[in-house]
Amino acid sequence: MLFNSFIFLVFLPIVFSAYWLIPAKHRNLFLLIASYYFYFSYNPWFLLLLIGTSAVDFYIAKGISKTEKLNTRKQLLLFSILSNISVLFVFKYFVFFYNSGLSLFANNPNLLSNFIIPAGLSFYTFQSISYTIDVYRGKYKPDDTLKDFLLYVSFFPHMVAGPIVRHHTLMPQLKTTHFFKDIEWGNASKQIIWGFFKKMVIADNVAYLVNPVFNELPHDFNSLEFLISGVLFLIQLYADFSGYSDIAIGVAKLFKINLNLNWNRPLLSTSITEYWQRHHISLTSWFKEYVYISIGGNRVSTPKWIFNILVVFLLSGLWHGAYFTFIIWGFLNGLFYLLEHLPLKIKLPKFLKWIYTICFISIFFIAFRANNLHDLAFIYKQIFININVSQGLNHLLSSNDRLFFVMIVFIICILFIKELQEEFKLIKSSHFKESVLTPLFYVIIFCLIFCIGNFNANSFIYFQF
Amino acid sequence: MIKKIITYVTACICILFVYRSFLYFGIRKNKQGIFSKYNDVFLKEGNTYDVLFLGSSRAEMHFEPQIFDSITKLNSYNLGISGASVKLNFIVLKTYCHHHQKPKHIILNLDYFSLKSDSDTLNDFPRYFPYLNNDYLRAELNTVDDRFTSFYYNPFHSLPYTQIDFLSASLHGWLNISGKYDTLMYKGFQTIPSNDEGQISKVKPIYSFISKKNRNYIDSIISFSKNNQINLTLLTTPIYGRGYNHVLNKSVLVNQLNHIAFINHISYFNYTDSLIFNDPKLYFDEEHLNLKGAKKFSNHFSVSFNNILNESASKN
Repeated sequence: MLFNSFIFLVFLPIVFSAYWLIPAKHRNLFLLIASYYFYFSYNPWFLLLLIGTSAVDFYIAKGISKTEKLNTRKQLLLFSILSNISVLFVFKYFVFFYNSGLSLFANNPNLLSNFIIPAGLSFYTFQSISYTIDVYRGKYKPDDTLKDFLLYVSFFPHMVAGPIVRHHTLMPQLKTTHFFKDIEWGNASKQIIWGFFKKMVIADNVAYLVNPVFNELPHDFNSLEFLISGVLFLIQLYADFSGYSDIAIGVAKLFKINLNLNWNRPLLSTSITEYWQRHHISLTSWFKEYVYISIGGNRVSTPKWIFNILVVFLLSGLWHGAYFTFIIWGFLNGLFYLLEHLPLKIKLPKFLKWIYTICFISIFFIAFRANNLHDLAFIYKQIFININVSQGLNHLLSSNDRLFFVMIVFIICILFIKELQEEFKLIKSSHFKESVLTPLFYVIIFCLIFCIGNFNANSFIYFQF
Repeated sequence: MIKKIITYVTACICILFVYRSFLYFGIRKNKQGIFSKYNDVFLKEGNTYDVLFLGSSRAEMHFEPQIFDSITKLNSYNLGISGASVKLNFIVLKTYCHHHQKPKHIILNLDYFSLKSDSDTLNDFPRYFPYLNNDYLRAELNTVDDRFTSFYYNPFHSLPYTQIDFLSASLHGWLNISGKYDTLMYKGFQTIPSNDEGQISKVKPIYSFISKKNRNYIDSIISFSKNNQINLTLLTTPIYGRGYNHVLNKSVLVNQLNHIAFINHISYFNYTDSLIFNDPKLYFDEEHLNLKGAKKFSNHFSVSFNNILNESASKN
């Protein structure tokens, strides 16, 4: 069930109404059933996997807290991590490693085709792993009921594509009795509308320009046109994924649950380091806490620190999928993250720093979007070796209607204007702004979804992860 | 709270109604491109074309009126609509005859490989939204899909289907500018330039038949033509691979169409067996000729059609 599907428009009001009508003590159980139904609608069989993996982690965490013996605790934690990683490996990585191995040793290998990946697998397994690690570290006492824990893992707004919520953020809220009168209607509806606008108006329309470039790989495109396509993909990905997060956060607010911020306007970053502090925050902080710090963080020698950074970025790439293109994407980001930490004193105006960040992040994201290594090599060759910008954007513009480009630029401007306003408070807070401008903005945004939104219920990009 | 909600909802409704008017007015102003054809047929009154070409995209992209007119000395218009079923062809024909002078000839392209489908679904139905103020058309479309009344009155129901390409078409109308392939359209004929590379891919051939519904629609068009003294010609335009890539029992279907034509005393041309149209350079994809192919076919067909006209003139 996609957020942008008709069935979700039926599902949400029913769940919302029933949740607030039933007695408070039964609400979590109801929400759990609703969440499982939500997941069931993707693939009924994978629901068993979700229940199985979260139940195993629940009992392992209980086991860890019951014993004082360090060895037993370690073994239990290892078992939890291995069981989660095994599930991830089987569905996401087995085919990649099997085919890569086979290609190395066989002449005409019979390659396997990819398995169907259970929706949200990487998200909920990471959430479960973080829980058992935190219990092992003594951060929490696992005194939750099985029902509450299962709901913590599978709460439907965030289960399929995050944010990856930590136990201390969500569990206390699930255990609190909430009141209908406390719902922040304004904030919830604004966030949901903005999320839908980002997904259906920006991401899905920009996709009309981006998809043909990466799927058909036009050979007459020049460096500039591929670079602009990369920038457009960066915007599409951001609008798509952050749109999902916005809807998830807004929907959770209807149940008086506050999910953590997942995106902090990364497109306004003025360095790659800053970009990574603003992009997919819940995943970045997960890697920071459970991988980077676990292997020593920055309190090590410089070569070891460089190694740690590269490991985190490579794993982050691999988390997205078992393809060499993702590994290259992770490596490039890691490399430039490290380069930015060199003690060089280059002072650039902020605008140029922003241009540099957007250009390089877009170039890295071309690796993220490229269908395979061959395509990636071709695009990078066109950008860096066969440099030719004499034709400007002629081919890109003539691949579609020129007016269509103008409209896309207009839509993207709305995104940037809103983010610039939030970042720099260009219009100061006032009664007029709060009572007239803001509501008017959201009314227009809501109407734009109807007018130029894509209602084809296109899947979210991050569902594949 | 209630006051606020009412204000927001009212504002949304007003904006959507204003936007819808802006959108449709712009589309109706298009003088080029695909909407110009619908404007000609569903908005204007009193067209006086002698010949109408009917059918799906295979009619729309194959019949070149300029060539046809120059050879036959008639005034023709290509009313082919991409994805059109036989039922839709009948609706378009009836609507046309309701608003314009009845044509002397109708040339109906029948793709025997698609006559199996019993579905009345309207392909790309939002394209008719700007013309739903045409009561006759709306009533006819409602016989296929009863949502058209709701689409006409409720922008919350219709606008989600229109999307950004409609706004683009509307702006083209308001600004009086052309889209990418708009200038290639002439009297309803839409084509793809010969240097645009399409793809001739393999399709899985099937056993086909003429469904009962489609047979009834064909019979209805034949009766309608007879009742209105319009000469009807049936035809199947060229297809790459001579049609065997699509239908395994092609000869059976061709015989059936020949039979329909024979018992109704009308002509049926089957161009799918013609070897001169089996050159991949003439095609954009396996089912559609490119501009070069369309010109060659139109020339060929126009000469044959003209011969029939001359023969019947000499008999009379």
